[in-house]
Amino acid sequence: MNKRVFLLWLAVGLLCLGLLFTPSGWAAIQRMQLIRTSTPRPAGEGLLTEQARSIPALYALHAASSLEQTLTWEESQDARADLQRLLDEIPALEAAGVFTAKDRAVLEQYLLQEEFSLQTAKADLLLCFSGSSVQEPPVPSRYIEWQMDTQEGLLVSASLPLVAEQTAPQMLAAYRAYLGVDALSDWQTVNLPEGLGGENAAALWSAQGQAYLYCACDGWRTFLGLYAMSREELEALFDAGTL
Amino acid sequence: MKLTSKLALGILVLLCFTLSLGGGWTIQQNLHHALRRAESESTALHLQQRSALEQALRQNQAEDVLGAAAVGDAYSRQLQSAIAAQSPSFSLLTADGTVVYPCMDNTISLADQLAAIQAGTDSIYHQSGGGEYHLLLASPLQCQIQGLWVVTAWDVTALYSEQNRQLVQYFWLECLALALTGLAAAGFARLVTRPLRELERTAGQIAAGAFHRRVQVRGQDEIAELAGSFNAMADAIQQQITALEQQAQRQNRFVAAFTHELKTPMTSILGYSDLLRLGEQSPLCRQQAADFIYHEARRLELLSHRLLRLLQVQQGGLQLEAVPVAGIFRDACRSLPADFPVQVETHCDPAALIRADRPLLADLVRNLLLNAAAAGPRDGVVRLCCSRQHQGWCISVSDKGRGIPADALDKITEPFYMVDKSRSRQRGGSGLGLSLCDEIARAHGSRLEFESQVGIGTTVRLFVREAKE
Amino acid sequence: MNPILIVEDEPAIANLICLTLGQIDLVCLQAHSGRQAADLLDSQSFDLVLLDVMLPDVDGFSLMDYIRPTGTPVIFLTARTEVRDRVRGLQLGAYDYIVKPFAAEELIARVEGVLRHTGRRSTLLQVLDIEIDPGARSVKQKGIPVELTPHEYDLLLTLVHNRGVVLYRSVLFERVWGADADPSNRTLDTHISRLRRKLGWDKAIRTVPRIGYILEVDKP
Repeated sequence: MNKRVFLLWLAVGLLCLGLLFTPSGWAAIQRMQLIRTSTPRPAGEGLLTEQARSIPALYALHAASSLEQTLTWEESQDARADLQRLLDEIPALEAAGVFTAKDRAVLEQYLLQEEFSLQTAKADLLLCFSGSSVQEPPVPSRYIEWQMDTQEGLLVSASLPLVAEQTAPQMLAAYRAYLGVDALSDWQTVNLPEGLGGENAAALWSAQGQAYLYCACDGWRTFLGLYAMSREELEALFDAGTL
Repeated sequence: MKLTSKLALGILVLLCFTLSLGGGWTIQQNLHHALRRAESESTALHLQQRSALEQALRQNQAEDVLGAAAVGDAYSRQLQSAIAAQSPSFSLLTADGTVVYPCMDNTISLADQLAAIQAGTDSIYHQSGGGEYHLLLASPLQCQIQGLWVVTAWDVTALYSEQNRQLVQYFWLECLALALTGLAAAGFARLVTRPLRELERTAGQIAAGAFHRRVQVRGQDEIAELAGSFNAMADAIQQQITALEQQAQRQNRFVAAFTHELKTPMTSILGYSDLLRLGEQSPLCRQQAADFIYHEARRLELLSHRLLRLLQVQQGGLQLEAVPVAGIFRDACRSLPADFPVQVETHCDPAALIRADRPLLADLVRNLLLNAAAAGPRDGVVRLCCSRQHQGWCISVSDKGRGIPADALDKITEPFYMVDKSRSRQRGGSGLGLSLCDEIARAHGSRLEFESQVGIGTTVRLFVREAKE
Repeated sequence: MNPILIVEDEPAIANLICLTLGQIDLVCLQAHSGRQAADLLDSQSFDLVLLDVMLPDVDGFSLMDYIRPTGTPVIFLTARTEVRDRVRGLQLGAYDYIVKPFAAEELIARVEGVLRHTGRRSTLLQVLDIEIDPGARSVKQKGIPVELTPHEYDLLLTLVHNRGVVLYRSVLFERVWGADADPSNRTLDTHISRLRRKLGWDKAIRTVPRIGYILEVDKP
């Protein structure tokens, strides 16, 4: 009996000893399994997917938004040349279906005829233009504003004195294709708050691209634009009551 | 194996198991979460650095590796000046392994960096070298230079050394816990089993013959209940043994007395008959011998008759029926010898009806009457009464005779006991009369009650249940 | 030559003992209770006390304390057969122990033995012209030893113990040769005639036809 009891105690002792070293052993095994292997990166909020990043328009927008400097506006050196840039892009927009032929005609006529005083600013890969008519008295409705990315030369946003013929959703769809951002699969319709944008307005947002696509047309102007924005920023924008 | 040891062992093993597994898992989870956090932070930083590098490359219009190197250099300086404490840890590489700008710990080898690139842009590579651990993240840079990658390193050595520290600390903690628990469990087990050991000791004592020993009952738990039951059992055993001992003693006394009562007349009979058969004795001698033989033989006859009756009554075979007490009294009186020296006064309720064996009870009454007469009542009367009592009837025989001494009162119903031997012998008595009466009383579910005072008188009572019609 | 005291409460047994001891010429006195015995012990001395253990008033064993100072030997009589009681009796100073029921010869032998041992009295039996020494189992006639075989001796002893009584042949044979022996008339007759011859007791041992034999002694 004594021997048996002794053996039992010995077995228990060894078991306890083994159990004591179990945490260390387990940790060592886990470590060995982890080292020299890779784990997936955590998905972060507000981060672009790589696919989105490869779209130049989005890349340009995000690069610009991460800039910590404020835009410095200057007088345009060659207003005509700058305007030409915009004019050169309008056919592409018509081809994409954003503008109808009539819209194009109106725009072209307008841009060619009017005299504008332009101001420009460069934001990394974006060029920003802001201009107003030189006519006296100044006509507020003749105000013009647009942004273009420097890589592809796309119009990433514009505020034009145009009464577009198409509805906002139509224009939005075409515009999306034009920008090349329809490669993103998760464009969701954004419900615009009451009062904002008017009756003829449409907006989309994508988490993959962290971008906001907007199109509106009231009786006076047409707005188009792709903006780098996270969901929170969008909400904040709506709360503030601006577009 | 001792219960104490079993308890202690069980508790220890259980505790060890729980602690080890629980602790091990917890520590592992700690590391896991810390790593997750590190991964998040390192990812955020990496992306940030990537954007910055891309911008820098654009701004400087770097078109070849030299340009990239210059950009890298400038950027690292920028980082150093911005966060003076932390040294920037990134390097620019091309996918085929050309190091454009190294700025990493020596512990991170080129192979590791290439492995990180190999892992791709959605992964984090866990690297270890020279006692240090890093998270390596690699992403391609969008710039004019083809196949340029940035690899950033995030130092997680502290996390692992923290884990090591936790493991060591926990190990000693667990050892201490086991030691203390082991002692406590052993102590507690001893405490709990102490009453059990006491129980065992007492049981041993009782088994060895000390039937009066009991266990002390403390508290109200299960052990206390056991102790209580044990005591009850010991009580029962002691009672039983005492009863058996008394029974055996009574048996021995009976046998001894019986043997004596038997052998005495036998001696006479044998002796005298031997004398007679030997030769022609004188007529006087013959007469005497024959006389003695006859009387002793009669004595034997009476003894055997009484004994047989006694055995019969003891073994049952009673015919119980509803009998009027008056009838029993009549039977008894009629069976008295013609020369009965005293007068019998009977007082009996005519309605008295009892459940009894008529001849046996008549015998009992007759015996009591004879005894009463033999006591020599001063007024020459023996009273025979039957009166109501409780749920039945009380039959009593009383006399004003010489009485029974107090110390003999509890022995008179013992077989062969005679208060005055010589006088009883003269009557041919054997000492069985009262014991037979007592057995008859017992068979009827009752006992004889004696009340007597020397020189005053004696009363014998018997209580019998009423018979329901 | 003091008498023997018999302390026995059963008169039948006391009487029997008296008769038996009378066969060897011992005078007995009977006491039927412990008190009676104590009185008698006070008044005279005895050569032997035969004491019944189960007395009505006192315990026989306790009476021993009374007898021991007198120095009189005691033989206990009892119906109890337990060794314990026997040992107790002997420890208290009794010489011997007789268990009831007892045969007459056994009683005689025991009593003779004790008397001889204590030298209280001589146990010699004097009958007619012979002297019998039961201890030595020898017979002397007029001082001259007579040679007798064991059976002859036993036969003589039986005749002497029951002198004056006609003894039946069968019982006589049984007494001497034992109950299992085959009784043939010849053996008994032969022994009787031999006895007669050796002792010259032709007249003393008288044949009673068809009944038995008798040792006649003239009593004055």
